[in-house]
Amino acid sequence: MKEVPLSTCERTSIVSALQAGLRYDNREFLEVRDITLTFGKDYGCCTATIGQTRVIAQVTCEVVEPRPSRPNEGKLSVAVHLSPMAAPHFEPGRGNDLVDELQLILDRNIKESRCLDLESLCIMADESVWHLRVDVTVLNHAGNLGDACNIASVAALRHFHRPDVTVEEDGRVTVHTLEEREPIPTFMKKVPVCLTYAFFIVDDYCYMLMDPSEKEERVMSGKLIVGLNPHGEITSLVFPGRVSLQKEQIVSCIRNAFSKAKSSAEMVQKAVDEDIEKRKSLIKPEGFINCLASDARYARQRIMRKIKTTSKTEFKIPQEPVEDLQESMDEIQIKFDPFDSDEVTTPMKVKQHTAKKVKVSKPREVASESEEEEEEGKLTSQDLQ
Amino acid sequence: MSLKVGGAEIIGVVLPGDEILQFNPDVNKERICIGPGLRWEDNVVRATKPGILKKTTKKLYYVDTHQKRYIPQRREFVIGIVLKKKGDYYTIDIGGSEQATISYLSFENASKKTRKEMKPGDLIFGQLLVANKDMEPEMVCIDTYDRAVGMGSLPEGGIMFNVSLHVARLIVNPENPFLLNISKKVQYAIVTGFNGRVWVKAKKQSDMVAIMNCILMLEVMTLKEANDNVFKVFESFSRHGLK
Repeated sequence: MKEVPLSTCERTSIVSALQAGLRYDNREFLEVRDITLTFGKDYGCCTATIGQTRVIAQVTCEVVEPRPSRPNEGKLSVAVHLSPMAAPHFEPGRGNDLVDELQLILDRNIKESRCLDLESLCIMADESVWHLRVDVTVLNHAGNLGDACNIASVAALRHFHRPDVTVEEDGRVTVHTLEEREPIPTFMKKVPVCLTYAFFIVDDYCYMLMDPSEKEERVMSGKLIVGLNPHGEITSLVFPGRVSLQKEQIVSCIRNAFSKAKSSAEMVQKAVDEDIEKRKSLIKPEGFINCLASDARYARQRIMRKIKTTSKTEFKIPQEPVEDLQESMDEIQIKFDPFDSDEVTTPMKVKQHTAKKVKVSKPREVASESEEEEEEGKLTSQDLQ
Repeated sequence: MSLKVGGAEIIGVVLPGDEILQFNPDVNKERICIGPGLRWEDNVVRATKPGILKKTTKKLYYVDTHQKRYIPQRREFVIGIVLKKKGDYYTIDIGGSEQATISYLSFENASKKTRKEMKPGDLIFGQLLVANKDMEPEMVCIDTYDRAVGMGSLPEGGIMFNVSLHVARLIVNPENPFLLNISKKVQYAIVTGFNGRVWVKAKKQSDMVAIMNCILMLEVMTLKEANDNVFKVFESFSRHGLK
């Protein structure tokens, strides 16, 4: 099925709403939609939702021969699947630009950032190693798939436990079932975070939004997808679209991303740890049964929250685990947000360049530099407060 | 037990395969109409979709269900997006599985010399003249007396958004006070297509977005709750406007 075309009316109204300082879903420009994580009954199965966007990631493992060049390292591979279930215009089994883009982001963020200790996946050097495979399937496409895929696969990898193995003296390898022996958790050193910034260039002004929705993604001039971790390392920068920005703007995006990375990473860690803790205390995992009606429920909660925060009374989010995470996210945003809303409504001026595609292909290590940047970001935000 | 909401009587929740009633045209002389979600076979009317079975006063039974995919029906009013010009016709998207067409002569006061010019991406509000299975639907913007009666291309400057089909049916119901309730707050023009597209125009951009959010509220709330919350939604947007 063909994608429903976007009318001129939709295009112009999104832009003029932005000029009036509004987003369609009553979000601030740098506000992220609600993120939830739900774990399946087995280890390494996780669905992540960002607003209406929904992605499922499943980790599987098998014993394989290692690469001859790296005999003592395990393997890790990530695969993204887009089916007509996500949106009717995706064709099954045929790749498109979006799949390639997502694959690129995930490969750089998860595989090439070396967030997982691959040497711990070695069973016997030169003979057998574990091969972890992450299958990411998009269930519903409502914008910002990059962040959703990243968060789902990171949570699934952290949640995953592989079966225990014993190596006999004569070199025989026995893989124990999960019932026989306690499975071993994967060891993840750093939590990669992915954040998307959308840019709208209107009459020489650049409006910057976080977490674009599907309609915003179709209208925007370009976006910047920053992959990073809270330790101050940028793992990927993808900059597709027809927009050219000043250096300062990109740097300010990255600063903003760093200020949010920590809370985002902590949210994932907390959700995974809570679920594993539950399993250890022998509470039977519920699986995805609670996801059944959640879209409508979250939409409702969101509307109620928006309504209530305006009616001057202090609004407290009920102490549910998932809600909790969102609350902490919101708090952090307010504290560390170097762009106060005033700055957003008076957007930065950009020079008009000829449209061209810019892509930073190599992951850069800017550990020391970016930590300084982070400090600066905090300082400015405090100053503003 | 039956409830009356907005002109239709709610009979109950049905699942696909549920028997609704026995109907034999030889015995039952009183005719009934069966709408979407129902099927008559072997003198029995059964449901084919899960949803709420409703009955209007004209003995019309139908199942109101959450659906986003539009299936074109003759005489329904829809909003279409112009895709391209093809000879004497415009190809338009009405959200169905197939693209629809509209002749440039089927506008009010259109003749071969004064033809209606449209650009790709423009919006048209019209009525379906032909909507058969496996056939390209055809839309017109005039009634049988060649009058526009509100149809035609939509002016610039509004906003358009999609709702699910039952919400679209709900808000156009003349006995539904929801749209009137919004109008107490702000003056606006609204056009609703049965294909789930809604076009709204008000003076201020923030009002248009607020109206959109009010209508989208109906997707997850009952009519009563949504009615209660309309003003609060506007408040949350007016706060935005002040900043």
